[in-house]
Amino acid sequence: MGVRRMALLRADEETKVREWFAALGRPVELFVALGPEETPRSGAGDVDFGDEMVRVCEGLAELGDGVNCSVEQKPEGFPRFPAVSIRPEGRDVGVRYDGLPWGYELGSLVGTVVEAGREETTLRLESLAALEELDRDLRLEVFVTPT
Amino acid sequence: MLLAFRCALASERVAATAIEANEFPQLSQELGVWSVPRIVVDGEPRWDGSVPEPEFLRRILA
Repeated sequence: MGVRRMALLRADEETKVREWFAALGRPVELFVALGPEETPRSGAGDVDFGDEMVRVCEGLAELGDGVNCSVEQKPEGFPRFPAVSIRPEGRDVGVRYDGLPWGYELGSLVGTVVEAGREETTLRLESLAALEELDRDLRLEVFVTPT
Repeated sequence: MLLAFRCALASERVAATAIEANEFPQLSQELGVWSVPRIVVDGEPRWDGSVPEPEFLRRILA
């Protein structure tokens, strides 16, 4: 007997996301990296995080012509799996989500696709000017939870 | 998280990764993640919680 899977989004949410994705100024690729995973958290049951990651990203890609999904096993440069690299016009610009973005974080992934699909940044001019002054590489990690 | 991603999208110098803390307990423990969002800059835990954009920029560039 197959397991019945929950829909990715509610109908009203899906309508909204389709509108946002339809308005993207440039295409966005969701590059899914699969590989050996850490021991699942307690209570995770039989969830296969890699399979779920593919389902989430392919599900989002179905909501807009400008969003596509590709999957690769153990690509270079990915220390943790599963992960998804959010790539404007297919370019790896260093935006990645490690782990399965579920619950509240699914909304964050949608927001990231919308951001990546903009041709102009939404950062303040002062912020842009400060970033342009950077003379070294900067690695940011933001730890999040699904709730 | 979106702010970090916006910075990465705007600057080739910046890379930003969101990490689901529950899914990577070992790394979370190593970096003392007790509350989220926890911001880590170049491998060093810097602060917990959301801050406005100007303050975020000030802190990551400090």
